[in-house]
Amino acid sequence: MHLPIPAFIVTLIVYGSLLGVSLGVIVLLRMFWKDWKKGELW
Amino acid sequence: MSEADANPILNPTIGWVLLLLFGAAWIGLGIYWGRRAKSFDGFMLAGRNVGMALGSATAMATWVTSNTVMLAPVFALEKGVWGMLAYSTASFGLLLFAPLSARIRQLIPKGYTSGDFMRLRYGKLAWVLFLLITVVYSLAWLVSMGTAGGKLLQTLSGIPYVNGMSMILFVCVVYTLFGGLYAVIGTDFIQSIIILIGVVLVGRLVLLKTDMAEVYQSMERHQPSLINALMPVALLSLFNNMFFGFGEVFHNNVWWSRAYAMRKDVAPKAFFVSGLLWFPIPIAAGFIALSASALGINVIDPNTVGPLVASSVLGKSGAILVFVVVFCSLASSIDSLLAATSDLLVEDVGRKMLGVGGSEDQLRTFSKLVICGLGMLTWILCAREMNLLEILFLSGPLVASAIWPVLGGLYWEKASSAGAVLAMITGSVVGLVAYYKLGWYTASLISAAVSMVVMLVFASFQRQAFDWETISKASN
Repeated sequence: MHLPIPAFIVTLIVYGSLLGVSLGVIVLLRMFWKDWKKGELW
Repeated sequence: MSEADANPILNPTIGWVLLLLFGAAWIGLGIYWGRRAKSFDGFMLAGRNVGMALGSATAMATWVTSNTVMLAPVFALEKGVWGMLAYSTASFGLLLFAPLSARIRQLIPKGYTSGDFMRLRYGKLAWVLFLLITVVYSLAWLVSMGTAGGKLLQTLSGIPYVNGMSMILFVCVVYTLFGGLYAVIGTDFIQSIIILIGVVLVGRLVLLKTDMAEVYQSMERHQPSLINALMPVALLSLFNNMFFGFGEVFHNNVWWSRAYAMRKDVAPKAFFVSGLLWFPIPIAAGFIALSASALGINVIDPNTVGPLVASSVLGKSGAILVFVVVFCSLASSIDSLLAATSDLLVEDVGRKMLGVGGSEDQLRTFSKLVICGLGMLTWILCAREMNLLEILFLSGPLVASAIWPVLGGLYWEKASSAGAVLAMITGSVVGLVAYYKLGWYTASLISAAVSMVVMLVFASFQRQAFDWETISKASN
């Protein structure tokens, strides 16, 4: 049985993942900055 | 030899320069951060005081292996959209390990390894069996990464497989040897930033050369199964991969050692954040394989489809980018596995099982010898150039059989030792039979299901509730 996943969902998944990974960089760097300022890196 | 191997995108000299440049950087940083490790505790668990940023990054980077970067495109190529999502479900293991890490710290605040818990909770037989499973799995993971690294270097730059693989293992062994978990966690942060930026860049650049509408139309025309929402194998692989991920994360000392290394309040939050950060990575890394058909790329070896598409579309710069991302993925996981598995062998096998004792210096020397030995063994197995998927998924049913013994052991006072032992044995055996008779995409699912039933049956006969105090008393 064939039920194609709509094109817009595939596009949403792909672009959403790229956005998610980009946000990941920002989140990690922000957390690093906060920990570093407080001297709580390790 | 594939076409890509015969005509590498990069000159071998560029490959060697990149390898030496990054190798020297990791070793240098490893030695620098390793100076913080003044005690055996510092060497093994980075002083048990790791914060949110480094904790989240190390959990995420360790889980982004060369398999993620290399196999996510293979999943997409063979199982389409569901294949990409299937790989991403491995992040659920990290998300669910967040509450587990809090429970682990509550039960054994000063523990060292996952083996500590199994020994104190279930006794010697379950402990030995668990060690066997986890060491076999860790070796399989290490070998799959070494093999992937060697193949990638050969495909991209023409560096002979054995030379590239040996160099990667050598670099990781050296900096782990000098810096212990401090070096591993410190380098993991830098590696995770490079990996994330690299994955986004490659994805974005591929989308500049083609667009999703074109990719979708090509799949619709030539490979409609890739966008089929009802592709049975892909759906099975989604759940199989999720349970494989649970098994991998719940049992492995790589994650337990991080739970002990982070500050108590940080561990659950850091694991949760790392799971969220990890989820989109396999999709972002894998979707480029879907565009192979639209771009007219002839994929001869599916194992190298990611680098092949990136380098075909982006030329030398794309090949360099993929080279760097995969090298970072390899290093971030190999170093963690070397450190965590050697901890397990030193603490559980050496100290607790064989009674090897001595001063902190002697233990540290023993630990370093074990790291070297593990590196050597991995090298020998990698030299056989085994199949990536075969290595990774063969260990799936073994680790999936440990999901319920670990979960039950942490939360359920009726979980029994006999139940845990038989759950791991029957789950592994039936899962392996399913692997060969039905297919890899069923093995972890069946193993976890059988293991759960056995745990439940034995718990129903268990009259005495487990006293949680015995764990904290014994560990102190």
